[in-house]
Amino acid sequence: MLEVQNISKSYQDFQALKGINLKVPAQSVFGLLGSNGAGKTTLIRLINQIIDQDEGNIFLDGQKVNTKIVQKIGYMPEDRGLYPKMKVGDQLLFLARIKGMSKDAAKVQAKDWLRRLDIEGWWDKKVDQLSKGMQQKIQFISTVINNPKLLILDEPFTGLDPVNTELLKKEILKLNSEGCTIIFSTHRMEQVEALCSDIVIINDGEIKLEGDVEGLKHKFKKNHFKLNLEKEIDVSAWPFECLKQSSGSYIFKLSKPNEINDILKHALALGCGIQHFEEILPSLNDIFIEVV
Amino acid sequence: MKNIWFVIQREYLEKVRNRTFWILTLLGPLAYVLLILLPILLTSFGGKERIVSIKDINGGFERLKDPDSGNLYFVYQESEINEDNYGDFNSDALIIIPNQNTLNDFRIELHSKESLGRSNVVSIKKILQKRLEKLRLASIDLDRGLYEGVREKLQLKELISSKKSEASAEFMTMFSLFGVVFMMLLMTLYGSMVLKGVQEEKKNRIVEVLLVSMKPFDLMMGKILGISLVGFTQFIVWVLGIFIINLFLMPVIGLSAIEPMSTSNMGQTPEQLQISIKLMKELMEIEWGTFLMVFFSFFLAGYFLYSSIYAAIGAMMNDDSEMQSMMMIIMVPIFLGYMISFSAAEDPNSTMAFWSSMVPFFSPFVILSIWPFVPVWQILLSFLVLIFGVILMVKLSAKLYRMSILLYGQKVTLGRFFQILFS
Repeated sequence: MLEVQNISKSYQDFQALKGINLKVPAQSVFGLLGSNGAGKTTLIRLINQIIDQDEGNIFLDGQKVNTKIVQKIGYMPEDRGLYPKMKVGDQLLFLARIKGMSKDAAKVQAKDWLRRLDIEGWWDKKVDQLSKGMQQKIQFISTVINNPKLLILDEPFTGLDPVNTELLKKEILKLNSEGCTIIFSTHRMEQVEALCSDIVIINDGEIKLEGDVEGLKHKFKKNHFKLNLEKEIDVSAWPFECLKQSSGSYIFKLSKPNEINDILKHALALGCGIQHFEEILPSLNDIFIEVV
Repeated sequence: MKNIWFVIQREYLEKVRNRTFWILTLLGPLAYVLLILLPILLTSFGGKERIVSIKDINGGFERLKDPDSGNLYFVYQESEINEDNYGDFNSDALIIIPNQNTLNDFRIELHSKESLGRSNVVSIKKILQKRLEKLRLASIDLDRGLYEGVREKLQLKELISSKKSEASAEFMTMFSLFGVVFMMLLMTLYGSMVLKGVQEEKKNRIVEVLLVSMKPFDLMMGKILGISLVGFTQFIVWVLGIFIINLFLMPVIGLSAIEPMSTSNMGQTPEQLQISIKLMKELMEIEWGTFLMVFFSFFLAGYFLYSSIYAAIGAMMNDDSEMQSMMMIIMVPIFLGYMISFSAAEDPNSTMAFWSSMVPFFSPFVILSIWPFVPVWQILLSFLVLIFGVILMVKLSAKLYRMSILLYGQKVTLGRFFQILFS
C-alpha cells in the first residue's frame, strides 16, 4: 500500500529524518508512534507532499506520490484547523472541492457524513459556534469526505468525550473494513492496542522498532506468567522466581519456556485447584518506554 | 489552476457575505452624500431667522442687501435704539455705524446677545465692506467700473502640448495627487486584508490541511486574487453609488452635480457656485478613459507587488505584535512612493520623477501623479519595469510563504529571512 524508501529530511542543521524505510500493509490500521520531536509530523508531511524530502521516495500503490496521487490520502493533522467564520456546509464543500470532488458529489457525501455522526442540523452553523469536540467531527468529515484510500489520523480523539470517541472509533474501523488503510499517530498506547494491527516506533529521526502488535509483544515478553489458585499457598520453596503474590494470585518469572508445565505440576501436586493461568505480555506502553 | 479558482471563490464570498464589508462599502457613497449635502443642509435648515437692526447715524449704509444665507434680515431703525435696548425693537442684533469724519480707519460695531455664527458675521462684513468701498470710490470720484477693471484677476492658463487632457494643468496635478492618495489607501487596505487572511490560516492551522490539496503558490495567489475582486466589487459599488446619487438624488434636493441650479435653494454663495461649476467643467474635461486605464493597470500591478509581500510576511509571523512591527516595514516603501509622487508632481519631467517612475515600489504612485505630463513611452516603460518587478516579487514572496507557513514558534530574524530567500 504505502512504501517509504530511504527518506531523509533536514531543517537547517537539524536532521529530522535519517533514511527511513517503511512499509504499511494494505487495509491495516498502522500505528505511527514516537515521542515529541521524534520526526512523526515531518514524516506525515512528507507523505502528504506538504514538504519535500531531501532524499528518498514515497510510493502509494506502487506509484510515486505526486500532487495527483496525494488526493487519495486523507489527512487529519493534530492541530485542528477550520475557518472559524465559515459555515459548516460551505467549509465541507470547499475542502472537498479542493480535493477534486464535484460540487454535487461533495454535497451528497457531506450530508451523509453529517447524518452518520448525528450532526445533520449543523450545515448552516458557523464553526466558531461549535464546541472543540464538535469541530473535531467536522474536521474528521472533511478528511474522509472524498473516500481516501489511505487515512492519516494524528491524535484523532483529542478533545472528544468517551461517547464521541467510541462513535469515531466505530467509523474509523468501518472505513478500515471497507478497504481503507489507516495510519494512526498518537501517544495514547491503549488506543493503539485497541485499534492497530501494526506499529512503527520512531525516535531521533530513525525507526527503532516495527512489526505487528502481537509479534512485538512476543518479542518483548519477559516470560512472566500469572497463576491464580483456589487457596493461598507457600511458594517460597518452588524452584521458580515469584515476582509478586497476593491472595492466591502469583506472578512468576520463568527462565525457560518448558518450565510452564512444571509450575502447573507443582500446583496440582499440592492439590490446589487452578483458576487461571496466562502468560503476561508487555503492553505497548512498556515496549515504547523500553525502546525510546 | 482549479484550486486557485476555489480559493478565489472562498475568499471573495466570505468577505462579500460579511455584514462589515457592506457597512464599510456603503459608507463610501454615504460619505459622498454627506460631503455634498451636509454643508447645504446645515446652511439651509441649520439657522433660525434673525433680525439685525442697523443704526446708521451719518447715512450712506441704507438699502443694504440682505445676506445670502437666507436667515438674516436687515431692518433700519431711526428711533432711539442703542446697544442696551435693541431687544425691545424685536431685534436679535444691532449694527451701529457711528458718526465718523473720515472713511479711513472705519469702525462698525455689531452687538448681539448670542453669536450670529461665523458665516453670518463673515457675510455681514462682506456686505458692509462692499458698501464702504463704494463710498470711498465716490469720495475720490473714481468710477467703480474702472476700479473693478484695475482689480481684475490675472488668468494664467498653462498650456502643455504633451498633456493628455483639456483640463488645466493645475487641476490635473491636484486630481492626480488625489488619485495617489486614493491608491495608497486602497493598497494598504487590501494588502492588510491579505496579511490578515494568511495569518488567520496559519494561526488556526487550516493551512496544513489546505497544503495537502494545493501548492502554497496556488493558495497565496488565490487569496491575493480573491481579495482583489473584493476590492473591485467595493470600487464598483462606490462608482455606481455616486452615479446613482448624482442622477437621482441630486435633482430631488434641487442640486445637480453637473449643472448647478439657482443659488437660493442651494444655500451657496455665488462664489462657491462658480468654484463648483469650474470644478465640474474641469472634471468633464479629464480624459477619463486614459486616466482609468493608467489607474487600474498601475494599481493592479502595485497591488500584486505589495500584497505578495504582505502574504509572505503574514506567513512568516507568529503573533500579532511581530505582525504589527513588520507592517510598519512594508509601509516604508508605500509612504516613500507616496511622498516621491508629490515631489514628482511639482516637476513631472525632472530626472528624479523619471527614475522614480522606473522603480517598481514607487512607480504606481509616481506615474499616477505625472501621467498627464509625461510621454506615453515613459508610462509604458515604467509599466513594463513594474510588471517585471511584480513577477520577481511574487516569486520571492511565494518562496518565503512556502518556507515559512508551516514554521511555528520560530522568531523570524533578518538572518533567517535572507537564509530562506537565498536557499
